[in-house]
Amino acid sequence: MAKVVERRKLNFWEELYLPAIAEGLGRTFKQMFKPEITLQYPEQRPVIEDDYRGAPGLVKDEEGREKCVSCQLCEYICPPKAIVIVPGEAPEDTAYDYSNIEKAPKEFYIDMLRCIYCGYCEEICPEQAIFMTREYELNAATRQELVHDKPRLYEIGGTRPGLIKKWKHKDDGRGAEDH
Amino acid sequence: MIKLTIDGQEVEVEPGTTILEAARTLGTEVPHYCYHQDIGIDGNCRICLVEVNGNTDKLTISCKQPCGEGMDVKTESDAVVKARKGVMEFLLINHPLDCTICDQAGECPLQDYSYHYGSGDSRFVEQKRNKRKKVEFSDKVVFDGERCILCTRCTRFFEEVRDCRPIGVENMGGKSTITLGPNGPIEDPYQLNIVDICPVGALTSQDFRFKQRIWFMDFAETVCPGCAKGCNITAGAYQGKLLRFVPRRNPDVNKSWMCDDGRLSYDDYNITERTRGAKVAGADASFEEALAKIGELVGDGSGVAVLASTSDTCEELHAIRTWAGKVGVTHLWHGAETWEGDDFLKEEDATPNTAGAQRLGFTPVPTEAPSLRGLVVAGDCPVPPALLADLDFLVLQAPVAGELGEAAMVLLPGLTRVEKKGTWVNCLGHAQKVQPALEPGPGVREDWELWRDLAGEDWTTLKAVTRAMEAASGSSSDTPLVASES
Repeated sequence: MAKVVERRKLNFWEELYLPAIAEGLGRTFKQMFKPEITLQYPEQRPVIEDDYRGAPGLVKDEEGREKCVSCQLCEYICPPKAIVIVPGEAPEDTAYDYSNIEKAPKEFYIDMLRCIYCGYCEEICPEQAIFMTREYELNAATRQELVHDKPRLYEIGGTRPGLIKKWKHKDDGRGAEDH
Repeated sequence: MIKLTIDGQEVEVEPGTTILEAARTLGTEVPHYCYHQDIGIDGNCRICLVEVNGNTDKLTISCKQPCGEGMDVKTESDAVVKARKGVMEFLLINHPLDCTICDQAGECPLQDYSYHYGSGDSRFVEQKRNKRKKVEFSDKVVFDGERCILCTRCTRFFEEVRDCRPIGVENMGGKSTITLGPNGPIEDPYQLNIVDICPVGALTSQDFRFKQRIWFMDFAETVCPGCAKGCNITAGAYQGKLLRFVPRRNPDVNKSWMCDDGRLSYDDYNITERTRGAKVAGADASFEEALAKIGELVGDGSGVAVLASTSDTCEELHAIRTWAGKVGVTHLWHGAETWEGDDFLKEEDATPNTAGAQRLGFTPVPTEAPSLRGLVVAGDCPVPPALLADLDFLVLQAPVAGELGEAAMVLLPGLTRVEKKGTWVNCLGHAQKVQPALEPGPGVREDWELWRDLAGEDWTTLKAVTRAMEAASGSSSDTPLVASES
């Protein structure tokens, strides 16, 4: 049964509507002299807090070396299964000693249409190689463009000097004689 | 028989049984690294310590101590737990803890026992010992000295199973490491077994190196399709692609081993192009049309032979045989494929079910083959060219048609050896269950369903075929056709 709502009968002043219009316009004019809070995006940008969780990106260390060792823990933890990693061998023909690392991602994809910005990947990463960046502008003409590949992820992530000292060769001469 | 008590439970064992094995019969797993069922006892890792008759001053290694009459064994007493924790701490002192990049992670007893029996943190603040990393023992095996816990399972495998010594332990004390012998890289054709038995990630397979973390993979407990020995294996696949075969223990067939050729044959079954849907005279057709065409071509069966692949399961072969019997085809032949065998596990017959085919009444192709009107090839097998001469028609049912597909009047899809489900009988006469490791995808029907439809039988499940086969061929315990439920 539909409930019948009785309408209050309007009195004379209310039936004129003019007082209501005047009140409305009054509010409008009052607002014009208040400080502006609208942001003129994209010319103006919002202030992004430090703990903002934007698009995840891969980071390089201060010397431009990739930190990720493709352990695939982020792929494992990712709730919407947005991350796909193809593991591979670390490059050997570089100036750096890769003997303690051996492994590096051959391909690294994050499907931003799937990502829910939970930040688990950053939390679980044992090498501090993946971070939730402040990048929030994700627009593209095709779905494929929103599947971020390795170059795009490094572009988003940039450089972040970190605590990981995997590059420091462990050998201080005490253990390696005879080997 | 000897009676003893393990953790309060009484158990009776044969004389000579070790405490570890006795505990296993009770379902109690005593942790162990150096002990392995198929390469004997060494007793160097000390993780399997147990308390015997309340002696907490001197614990006993359960892998080597034979059971004694009236022994009172405790596997979880305070002294044992403390000692085990100590052993774990020592093992982890020089272990690099690089599980993030280690292929063994996820199937590593060091990880498991560290989780169950370790202390969870490290008191060791000194410099870890540096040893050689990424040493190529051969083009199949890589060695990492830092991860090694020197259980010597690998060297003992070669000494006791393969009767050779390509690797050994060099140096003493903390500097000990496994090293290649003077004769260079390992050449043994069973060398990849040391990767399986290595309890840590010190020995890893070059082939599987960094391919996929094992927790992302799907596993099927099946039988190696490589040869007639039928080694029990676990096939690992990732997203519809096989990545590895590893042996599964079966004391009657392959113990814990398999040959490298069989192990590395997995990639042969990752086929990219295959027959999908039926074809009649080169044109796409429905399965019903194709099967009707076969019936029409075969007619009363005179001058027609069936050549069945010996990689077909017994169930498939039974369905084929039933159909052939109904239409009057009397020539039931099986194909043959060979590769180089050896005197350990690898058989010369490179197909997994020759014994099953012969038990079901299929015979090898006679050297003086009678002249044929038509040939029905069932399954993936090489067809002797002599059979193809002067044929009126050829029916081919195979996963990959190849050149023969163009000559076939009727072409039907099929399953590869790793997609089949059913029974294979190995050369020792064991009927073994086969499980599919991959899915065939669209446009492919199970082989037995095709032949069932041709034969007009009403088997709805594979189990029904198995029962019909058992009833028709009198499968006995001496010549089984059906794998026992174990």
